[in-house]
Amino acid sequence: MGVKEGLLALLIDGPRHGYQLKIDLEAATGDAIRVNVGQVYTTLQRLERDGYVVAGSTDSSGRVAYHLTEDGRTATKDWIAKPEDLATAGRDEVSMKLLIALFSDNIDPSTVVETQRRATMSQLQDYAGLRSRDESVDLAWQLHLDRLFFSAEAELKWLDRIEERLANQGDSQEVPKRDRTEEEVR
Amino acid sequence: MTGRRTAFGLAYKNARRNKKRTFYLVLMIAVPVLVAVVTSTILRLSEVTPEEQALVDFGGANVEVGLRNLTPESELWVESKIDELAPDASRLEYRARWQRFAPREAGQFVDLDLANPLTEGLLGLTRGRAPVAANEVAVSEHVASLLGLAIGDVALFDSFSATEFEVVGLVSHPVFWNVNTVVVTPAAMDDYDSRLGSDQVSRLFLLVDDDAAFSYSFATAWDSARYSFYPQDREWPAPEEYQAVPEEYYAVMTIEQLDEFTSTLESQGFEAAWGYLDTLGLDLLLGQIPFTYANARSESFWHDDSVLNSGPAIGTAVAAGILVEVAFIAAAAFATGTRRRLREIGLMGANGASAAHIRTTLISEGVLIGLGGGLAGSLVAFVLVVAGRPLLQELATRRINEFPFSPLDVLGPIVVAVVASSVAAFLPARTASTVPTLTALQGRMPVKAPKTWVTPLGLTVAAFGTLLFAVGLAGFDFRATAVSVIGVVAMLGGVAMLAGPIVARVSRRAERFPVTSRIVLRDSGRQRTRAAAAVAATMVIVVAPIVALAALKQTEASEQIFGLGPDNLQVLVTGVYDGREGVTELGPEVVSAVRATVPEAKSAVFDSLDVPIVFSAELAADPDDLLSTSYQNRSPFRMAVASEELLTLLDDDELRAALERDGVALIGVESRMTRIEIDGTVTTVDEVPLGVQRRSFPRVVVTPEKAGDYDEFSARTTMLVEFEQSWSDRMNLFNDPAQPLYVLTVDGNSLQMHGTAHPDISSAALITLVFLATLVVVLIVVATVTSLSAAESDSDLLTVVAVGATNSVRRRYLGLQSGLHTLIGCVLAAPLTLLLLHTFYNSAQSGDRRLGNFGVYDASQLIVPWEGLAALVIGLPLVVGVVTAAVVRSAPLSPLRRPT
Amino acid sequence: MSDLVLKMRRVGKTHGRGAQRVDALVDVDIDVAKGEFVAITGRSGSGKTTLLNLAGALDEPTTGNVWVDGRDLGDLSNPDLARIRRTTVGYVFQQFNLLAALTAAENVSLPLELDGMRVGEARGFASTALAEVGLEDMDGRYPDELSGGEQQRVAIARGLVGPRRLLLADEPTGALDEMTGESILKLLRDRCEQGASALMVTHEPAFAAWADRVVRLRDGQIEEISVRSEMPPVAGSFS
Repeated sequence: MGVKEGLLALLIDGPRHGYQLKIDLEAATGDAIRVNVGQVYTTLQRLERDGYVVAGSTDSSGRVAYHLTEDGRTATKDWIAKPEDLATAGRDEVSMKLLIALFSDNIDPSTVVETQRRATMSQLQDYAGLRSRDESVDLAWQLHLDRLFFSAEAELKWLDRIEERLANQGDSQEVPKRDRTEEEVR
Repeated sequence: MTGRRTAFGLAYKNARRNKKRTFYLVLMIAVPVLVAVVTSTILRLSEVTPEEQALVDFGGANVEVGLRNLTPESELWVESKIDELAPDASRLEYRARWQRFAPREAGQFVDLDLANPLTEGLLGLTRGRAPVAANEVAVSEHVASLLGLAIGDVALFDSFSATEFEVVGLVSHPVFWNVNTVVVTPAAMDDYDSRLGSDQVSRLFLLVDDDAAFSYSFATAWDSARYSFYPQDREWPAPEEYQAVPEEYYAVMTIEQLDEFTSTLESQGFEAAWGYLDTLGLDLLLGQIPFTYANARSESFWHDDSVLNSGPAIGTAVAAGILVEVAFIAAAAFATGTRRRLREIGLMGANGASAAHIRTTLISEGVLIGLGGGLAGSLVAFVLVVAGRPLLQELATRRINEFPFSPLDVLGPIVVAVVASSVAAFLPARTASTVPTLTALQGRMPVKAPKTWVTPLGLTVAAFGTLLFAVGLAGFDFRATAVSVIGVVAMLGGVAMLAGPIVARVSRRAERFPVTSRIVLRDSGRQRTRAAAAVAATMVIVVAPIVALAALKQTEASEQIFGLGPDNLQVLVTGVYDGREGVTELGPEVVSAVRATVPEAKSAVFDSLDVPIVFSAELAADPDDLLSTSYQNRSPFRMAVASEELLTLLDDDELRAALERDGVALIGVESRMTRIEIDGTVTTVDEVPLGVQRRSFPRVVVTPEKAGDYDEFSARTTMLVEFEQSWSDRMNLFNDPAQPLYVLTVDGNSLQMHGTAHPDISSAALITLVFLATLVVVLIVVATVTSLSAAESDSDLLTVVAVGATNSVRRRYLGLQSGLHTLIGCVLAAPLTLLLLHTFYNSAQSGDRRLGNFGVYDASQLIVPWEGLAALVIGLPLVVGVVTAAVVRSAPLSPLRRPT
Repeated sequence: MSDLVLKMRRVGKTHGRGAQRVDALVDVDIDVAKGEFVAITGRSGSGKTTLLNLAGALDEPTTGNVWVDGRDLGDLSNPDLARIRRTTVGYVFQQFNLLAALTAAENVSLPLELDGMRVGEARGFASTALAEVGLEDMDGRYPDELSGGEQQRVAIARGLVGPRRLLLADEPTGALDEMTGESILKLLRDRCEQGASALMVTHEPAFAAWADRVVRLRDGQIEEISVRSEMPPVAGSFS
């Protein structure tokens, strides 16, 4: 994922100014993404240009708060709902989505897990089908298939684990979501 | 050392964890131990030591002189002889009279001087005082407890005297408990003598002298002097040819009579000779010739030492016998346990336990359970014996102190219990410990083919056991009994060893059976230790009914009498006993009295004739063999004259037809004695298998016309009374005061009656009873083994259900399994028992022709109870299987849990 | 669809009552078509095994209906259910659950023999079934003499012997190593492509992936279903 999707997802929870978005993005992704303020503003300007966000009023410190437009909201939801194709995208995209979802009040992480799992399982099924079908083809292809198969499997296991952890967290504590995630992230 | 302690610890934990199994095992072991300890205690307590025996016989004296069947002359002779031989000895003289003092109780009335120190050991005053006045008595504690008497009570002690006695003291015997003694004054004894005569009276003299050699010298002197007690014209000691005649008879018979006796004995045998003595006169018959004897106390008092410690030994033997059975059941249980614990065994192995460690652990469990069962059984036995002391005193017939145990009583049974339990644990333990650790970890138990040496070894052990059994039977002392017990145990063990190979062989034939049977057979083959133990357990049980059936056959052969139906009771009234003069004939007034007492019973009056009758089997027998046999079983009145009344009562057309044809018929027998010799004439008669009173009813029935041929023989009026009564009530008929017949048998002039002493059950009914009893025991064993092993088969059964069997497959499986084990058990038990019986009849009674109630039979010949055997071998497995299938739960249909 | 081998509609199952009441399954709808290989995944306690037992006529649903081969199991008596288990559905377990007392061929022919088929004929079917799972010439072996994978092959042969067309497998690879497990799954796929149907319970995604459809259960309810693409992507191939 890019900084672009992250900023859009953060804005679902409400308008924020550039510096706040930088802080939140780094907090949500566990410092997996490091950006400087300039990069954030450049991205915001690009998003504004594409019609996904609008700049709002300036506050006393002179900072400008950005809002999501309807187009921006739709694009963000599409991104969240879209399973990632492991063969093309890296797993980072999924984890980013999840982390943002955890951080966000308006995105349900289990939906992300379910969506992704269905897609990954389907992919795994496809790989399994290929593996069972092509016994005789060349070794290189088999090795590649194996790699795809096992990374998909690992992904599924990881998703299962996330689900378990989420369930356990939900069972054990009645803590406001944001506090919890902030704490976890730090 | 540490390894062993760890093994014990593990064993203990295992026993605790498998609570159900441990409970069953401890219970199974505790019960025989309980029986054994109680048996041992009772037997040991019943023994009398030589010292006690001397005390009982002589009291404080060392010579006892007795005179029976007093006459004035004999009394004078004995008194003067004692004066002459022992002038200086202290002397205690008393009379003893055997007499009935209550309707069903008799005892000794003695005019013993309780103050005399010589009575010490005979009787001691425990409460009150000795009788002084003629109407005072002291009674033994047993009499007091029987009659519910206390000091100060007044009692009428017998039906013949009008004297009311007051109880002034209680006496007791230092050794025996159940002595019925009434101590009266000499004056009271005189009164008895004058009224009742001196038939039943003995005079006893107890002598003691300071001289150490006194008892020996007195006994020798008395022995040489006693002949002069008898008439002077007889040669003493009796010549060789008259040795067969009792001394007092020899003394009074004429030479002609003696010669007649001996020639009869030689030509016609023992019974005929005694029959001749009967004809000589009442005095001889009742044995009323005066007779004197002297007993001297000596150091080498006769006593069978081996009897002394037999109590604990027999108790141990009892425990051993029952525990053979228990060991087999326990082996089955242990085999189940080890199989289920296979993974644990693997774990132990993986953690460095050697085969020996594993074996020790498993056997330790056996030892612990055996010990637990032994202790539990002994504890219960203690409680029972202490609580049942009053009853035990009656049983053991002697006084028993507060805590009547000896370590010996307990030690033997416990040792046997521990040995049996460890042996039971050993086989499965051995099998389990040889399983490679890896295999055990996988929960698999490799099936090995049975060792080829098992079968020959089993046969050898069985043969050796047979030999021991035969050798043991030849002897009579305790040691011989022990040898034969060991022999039987070896036979059982040897044949039981065959169970494994047989199970293996049968399971190899599984191929051709339908699928459920095939699984059962293969499973038995795979779990051979358990299956073989279950088979052996059944086998041991089945031995008992086969022995019982054979014994029944033997009894039938000896008696050749057809029993009555179970709801019938015949009582034969043969005379009236007046208490003194002997038996007199049945008069018309007695007949009507009986009919008035039991008006609902059918009755018939007929004459019975005392005609000597010899049956063909006896004719063929060697008379010498018959000498040793019992004469008393024969009824003196052997021929019934068929009155119309009798024929109506017996109501048998076959009998009527036979009588019409020949004038004579044999009843109560079948296909045995076609010829009889009546009064010297051999006749062929028809046999009518008609049920009649077992012991006393005449076997030969003649028409009144035919009876005319035998009018020189004495005849007696006899009455047959037939009751409709179930056999369980019969014993009460005479003994229960509420029964009408009781009045007739005990009151004043009592009737001489012959009821049936034991239940007359038809042999078919007996076979059924035996079969049912066996069934119950076998089912208990099957239930135990099945409930202990069901968990193991259940996982397989669930699979079978999942594959598509109906839930009833569990019933079928368990039914077939128990049926199969019972079948193999029966098949093994049949030849084993026949061998056992064959050995028994051959060695114990070799070549013995015995006189039964009704002629001679060959006691050494084993009569095989084929019907019973067939019923057991075919019927028992079938019924056990069906009952098991009917009572077990079917497999649950509920969710199938994955085994973890 | 007429060629549904297994059809479950609004099936619910409740264990215990009162405080102990557990809803093992709630309103579950599942279809298995002829030739289809369906896997059920989910965490332990999610109701997987209960579902399998209901499909296998080993247990009765509290609510809803189960049709096997077009017959409503609720209408059938116990003997008829047993008959279904003999002739229509076959079970495969994690621990193979072969009868140690019977040879491979006898284990396979067990349902046929229970159904009353003559031993010789049943043995013929068993040999064929064993050959189909790659166990030629192993008819006379006892389970003890077979490897885990071979035992499971025997179990699959038993599950699909004769007329049986629906295989219910409960963690069939759970006791096997991964390679052997995969070979068992390939076998299952293979059998399904030859016309059998299978419903498999597993918690391993890698094993569930071998199915045409993967049904995920959560707390007794169907959470998601993923289907294998009709045309698997070949993109990414080096060739």
